[in-house]
Amino acid sequence: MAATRRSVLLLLAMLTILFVGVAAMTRPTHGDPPRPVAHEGDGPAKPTKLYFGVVACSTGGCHDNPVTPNQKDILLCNYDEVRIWSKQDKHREANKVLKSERGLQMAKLLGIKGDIAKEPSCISCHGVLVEDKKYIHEESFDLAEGVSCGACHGYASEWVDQHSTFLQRKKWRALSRKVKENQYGMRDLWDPEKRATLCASCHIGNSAEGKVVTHAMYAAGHPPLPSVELSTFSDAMPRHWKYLAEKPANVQKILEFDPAKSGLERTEFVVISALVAFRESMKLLATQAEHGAEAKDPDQSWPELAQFDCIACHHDLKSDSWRQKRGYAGKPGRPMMREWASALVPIALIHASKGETEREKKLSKELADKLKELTAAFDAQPFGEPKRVAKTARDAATWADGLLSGLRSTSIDRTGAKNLLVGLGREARARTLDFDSARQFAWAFRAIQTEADPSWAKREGIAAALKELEDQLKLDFPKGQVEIAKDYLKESLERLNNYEPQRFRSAFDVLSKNGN
Amino acid sequence: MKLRPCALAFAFAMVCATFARQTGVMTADTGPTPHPSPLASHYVGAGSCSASACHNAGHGSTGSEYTTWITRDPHARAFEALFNERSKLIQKNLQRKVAAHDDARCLRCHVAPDYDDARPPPAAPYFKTDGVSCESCHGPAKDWINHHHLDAWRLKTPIDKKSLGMNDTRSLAGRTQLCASCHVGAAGMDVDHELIAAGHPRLHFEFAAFHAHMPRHWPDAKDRVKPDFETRAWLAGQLVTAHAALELLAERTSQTHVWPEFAEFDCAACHHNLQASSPRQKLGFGPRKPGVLPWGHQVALTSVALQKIADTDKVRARIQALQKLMDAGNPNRDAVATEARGAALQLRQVLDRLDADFVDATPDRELLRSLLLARGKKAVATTDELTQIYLGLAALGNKSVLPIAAPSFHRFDPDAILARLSLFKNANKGP
Repeated sequence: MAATRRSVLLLLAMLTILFVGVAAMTRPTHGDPPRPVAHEGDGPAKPTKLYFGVVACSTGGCHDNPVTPNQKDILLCNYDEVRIWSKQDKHREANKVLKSERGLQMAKLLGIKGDIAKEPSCISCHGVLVEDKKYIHEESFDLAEGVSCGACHGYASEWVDQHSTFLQRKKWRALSRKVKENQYGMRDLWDPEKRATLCASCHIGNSAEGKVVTHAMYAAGHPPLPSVELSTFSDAMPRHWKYLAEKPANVQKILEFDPAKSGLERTEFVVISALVAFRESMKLLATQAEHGAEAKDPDQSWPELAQFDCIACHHDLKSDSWRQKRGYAGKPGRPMMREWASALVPIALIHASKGETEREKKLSKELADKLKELTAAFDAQPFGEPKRVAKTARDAATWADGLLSGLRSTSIDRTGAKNLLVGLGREARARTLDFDSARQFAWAFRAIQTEADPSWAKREGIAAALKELEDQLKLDFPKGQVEIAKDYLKESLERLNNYEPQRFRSAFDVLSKNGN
Repeated sequence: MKLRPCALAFAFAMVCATFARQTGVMTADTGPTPHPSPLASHYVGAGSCSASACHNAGHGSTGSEYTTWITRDPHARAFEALFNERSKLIQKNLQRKVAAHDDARCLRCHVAPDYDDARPPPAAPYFKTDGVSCESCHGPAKDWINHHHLDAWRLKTPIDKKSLGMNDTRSLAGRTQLCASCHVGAAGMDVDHELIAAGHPRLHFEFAAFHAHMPRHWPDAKDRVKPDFETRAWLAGQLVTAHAALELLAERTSQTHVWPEFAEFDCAACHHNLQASSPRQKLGFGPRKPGVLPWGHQVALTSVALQKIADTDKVRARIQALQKLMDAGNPNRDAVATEARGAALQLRQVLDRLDADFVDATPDRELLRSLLLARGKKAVATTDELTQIYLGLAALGNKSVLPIAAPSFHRFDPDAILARLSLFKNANKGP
């Protein structure tokens, strides 16, 4: 069976090699499902959906190979991806947790009658939402595998077949990333914006893909979605891939990466994913507000409380409240949107303005205006005016998208990174950051500083300041496949509840003054 | 330094008292004719009551009402509170242009319900600094101060007295209503969410417990002429408070008010630190969908209160319908307005049928206690409802001094609360 299959594939591959042409020059659209494009040579016009299981990747000595691969052989990967994912990555447990005590409690409170591990509103993130069962590869597909290979890399038969055999390797590698994605269905995760958009689809939410955590879910027990700084989160998975700069030169060439022209990849990812987080948050907010404004069903109508800042309401009542002393952006007692998604946008603006002070001022004003309009829309009445919220959020998303497209071919060098770190320090001193935003700042600073100068942590005072921030914000994640909703959640919520902006500012100040 | 115009008040009181005796003799038969000028101009100030021969006879003596109030009653400090740091913070957060002690919005509860800065009363220098003083509850006194000590006054009905400005503080219905106007709220006297977020303490009123806690400046024996005062007080509190709350809700649905008004809902349902493992989730949400703001602690026990009263189906049905509306994720303003008005009207009709001291409507105390206890155990109750149950049970205990402050229930822990409630099982014990 396998042999027949191989020979067919071989034939296909040889034919393909003959006709490899120039990649179609259409600009890829990010976050959307692959569209049919003008196809390359005799490659497929568009990928064929195929929901496969992890065994498709681990079998045949491929991504779960216990032997260290021979480095002379050009390998794009490390051959240990499945092993890392299956032994250490929490995504592996994504579906399993639906059957935990917490998951079952949620099912009960939400009135989910069937198997919660197959409930569409859950598995859209805790697994994969299968569009049509006819595309399932029955022999291997298993929903219980959680967020597995295909969920991120793409459920399509073409690329899985094509990339996996020795005989077709040469032909496959000659294809551009764009062709691999558009015609073969392998998601281009080397593109930081696409990667960030994919992560954000679950870690922030995406209405179109059915990935939305509602307030009812939270009330039933879903842990609050934390803020996400994706370079830090990627490292914590842990990564089963290398940054392009970490790869051998010949692999870099295949993957269209030029170390001479490229900058600090991780720092770039911090910046790009900060903007993506803002754009995706705004898109989600806009969609939810539009939907809620039009819904006839009172259960569906605005407000969707999950779109508001959790901590605006969820804090113990105090007779001596720092919120009251700080004052309010609008009327007292009107919950606002979550703050963190815009927290790191200012550093993206520093990068986007390329050292031009006037441009940075202009962009900063644009951001401030967008946020001001949003605040006004939220402040106009309790729970905001949904149509106005939708419009202003949509505008903000478009604005962020425009900025992102301007950043696609830019890179950040050490001087650029230093500017970002200085910017973070300045912003932290000028603003009162909430817990989630403070975490964004600390994570971003640590990631950028570590890449720009790995020895920084040895400098005086840094270790103590980092420990202080860890105590305040719980920046490090538990290793391995422990259930995040147990001890870690309890400990991080304690930090959240005890958070004091002033204390954070002092600790962060030590970092920013001794860093760079 | 805050000056109480004691000397001035004393002198004024002496003059008034003398004048009162003289004019009183002259008009003993008919009393003065009420005139149509605004009530606000009828205030004479607490100083007018504080003559030692009148209501300032010293602790323990007959006629010591003013003494008790000025020395022990927190209401006497209600105006002073408007000068403290919290009041300054509230005004700042609300972006009010006037100081709290000059702001009618504050003064209507911190001085008198008809305080209106558009037409400041001529007696303002006297009465404003008194805080919630004699006339704030008993009514503006200009038209009765000279007569109310005379024998002829005693023959007047509460309605006659009211027409001259004196409120009915004797009956439970009258007394409760006065308290509720500030402690629950009413039009123009609304402690809404905006005010709370700015720094004002939230309101949570249970008449019987609050009443027992207030330094009494009237004879207890008078209250106890009729049987089982505490049970009647609890009942009066529940029904009158529910009525005031329903009217306030209807008021809050008006287009001039923001909607939804968060102060309607259980504070602690939202205002609690996020917990990894939540007792709310363990207990479930009953008929409510998860994550919906729970409403109704001021009407939660109305059905228990109505149990011995006939013909209450309509009011019960209205309250139930209202509950259903408010339990929707986003309650419809107009529908709530209709239902809240309807429920308030039905409850008003029930109240009008009952005697003002609730003698015939009162359930057996022991039965009531067991019902409340059962309710606390069974309910998918909110913190506010449990607090109502707690305060009710505390008031219905036989202790002479009752705990006004419920244990801090804002950390919702049903097990702890139930353990606490179970201490009320024995009639003579409180926690």
